[in-house]
Amino acid sequence: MASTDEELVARSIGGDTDSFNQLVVRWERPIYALAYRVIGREEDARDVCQETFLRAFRSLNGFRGQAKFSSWLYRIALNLCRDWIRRERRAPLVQAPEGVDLIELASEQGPAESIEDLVARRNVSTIVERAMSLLSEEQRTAIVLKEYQGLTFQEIADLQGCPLSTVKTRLYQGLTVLRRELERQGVADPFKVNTPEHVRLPRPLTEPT
Amino acid sequence: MRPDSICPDSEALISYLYDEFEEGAVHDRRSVARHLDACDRCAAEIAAFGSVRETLATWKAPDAMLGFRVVQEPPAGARRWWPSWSPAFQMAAAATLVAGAALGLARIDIQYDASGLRVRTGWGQPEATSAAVGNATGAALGTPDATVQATSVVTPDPTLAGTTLPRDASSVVNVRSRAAGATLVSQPVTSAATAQAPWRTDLALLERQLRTELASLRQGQGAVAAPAGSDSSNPVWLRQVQQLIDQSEVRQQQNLALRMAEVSRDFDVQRRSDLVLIEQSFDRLAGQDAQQQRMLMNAIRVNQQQPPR
Repeated sequence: MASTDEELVARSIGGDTDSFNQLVVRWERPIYALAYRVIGREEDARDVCQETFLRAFRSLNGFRGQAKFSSWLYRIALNLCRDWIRRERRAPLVQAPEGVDLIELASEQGPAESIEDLVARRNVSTIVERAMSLLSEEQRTAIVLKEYQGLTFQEIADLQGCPLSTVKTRLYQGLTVLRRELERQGVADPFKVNTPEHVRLPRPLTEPT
Repeated sequence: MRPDSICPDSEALISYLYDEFEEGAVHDRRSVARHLDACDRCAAEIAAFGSVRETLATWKAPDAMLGFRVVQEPPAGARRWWPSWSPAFQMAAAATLVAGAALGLARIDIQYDASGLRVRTGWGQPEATSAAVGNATGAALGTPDATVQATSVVTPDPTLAGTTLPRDASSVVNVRSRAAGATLVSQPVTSAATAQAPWRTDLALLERQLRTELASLRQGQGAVAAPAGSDSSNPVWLRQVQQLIDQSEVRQQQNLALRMAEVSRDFDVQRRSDLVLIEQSFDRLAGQDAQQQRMLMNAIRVNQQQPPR
């Protein structure tokens, strides 16, 4: 039976590096996905992910178990993301899908359609990415933590250091912006779901089992 | 006015959307659901948000080569320095240390020239006079073994010109001491006596051993030589060697697994990249076909629209 996070943390504090590496294996992908969705750059997200675990390892003794280990990791990662955003002082950029040659695409198309539009049209995921980049950092982080990491309102409020009602407001405003943008792009169809009973979303995507 | 007819605030709608109500909140799931049944505007908003969430679910983070692992170095204080030294270097260092200490204590002066090796021990006597002084004092003391033999090469004192050293003599050892007022005890050592001296055997042994081990190191064999005097059947030594071999095997297996994983990932990335390119090529071909069809249709239409002559 696999050890719990708490057991692995306890053994790691005792000097067992292998236990910590098990935690890394368990959480590296969710942390990377979180960093990627917040800052929007693959390479930088990987750096943030690596730095998150390094910092966690160095300050393991400071982890008293007052929060879940995952929440503690999320906090470290979000702080690093925030530092990155402030350092870069720019909104996350949209990356072209792998293998797409923008110059070649541009030469094939007329001037009526921009390269960004063309790339976005080819990939719904890219449209979502672009729409997310329209949000403020706080709104985007709240939506990522809720939609993809599956955190509760209270956990998000703790991570963002704000009241619970603020988290809901950020979610509402963020979803409103996304709705408008996705409808403008013709992706989100408001008439696709007819009754409120059908609006439940699938489980969080990256939460480890 | 019924409470259900009042539109709930945005927080209540979000709580309903994520089905997460706090205890003691003004609205609960049932009251919001009742309101949605009656309010088309709020129902449409919730439906739109649901659609947005479904679209958000399609956004996947790209695959990345992660595989971070923490490798902890032992603390500097607890780090064992000696394993990084090969036994040859250990013994060379030890030999140097011992020799240096002995030299420091005995104040040995070593010279090597055409006449052979000269090793002189003692404290602070000028070389030119040492033999003479030794001769005189030794004679005065009447010590039977205080016969000083020196060559002109060793001690160019004219008073000793008559003394000879056998031609096969390779070294002269002058041992002088001022302790307790005694000036010296000088002992000429012939090559035969030197050859039979126990230290010479040890020195030759040590030299041979060091040469052998340094040669093996140069050849990059990396073989770990047993320390001098160790018995290959020593269980402690064997256990240490076995442990080293086991650790090496584990490291090699880990490295191999890591390389395999990297190769697998690289292959997967390359495969998906190729698939994207193939898909693009198909798209391009389909676009060209559609364009040709459009041109064909336009040509047919133009032909059909031309007035008959």
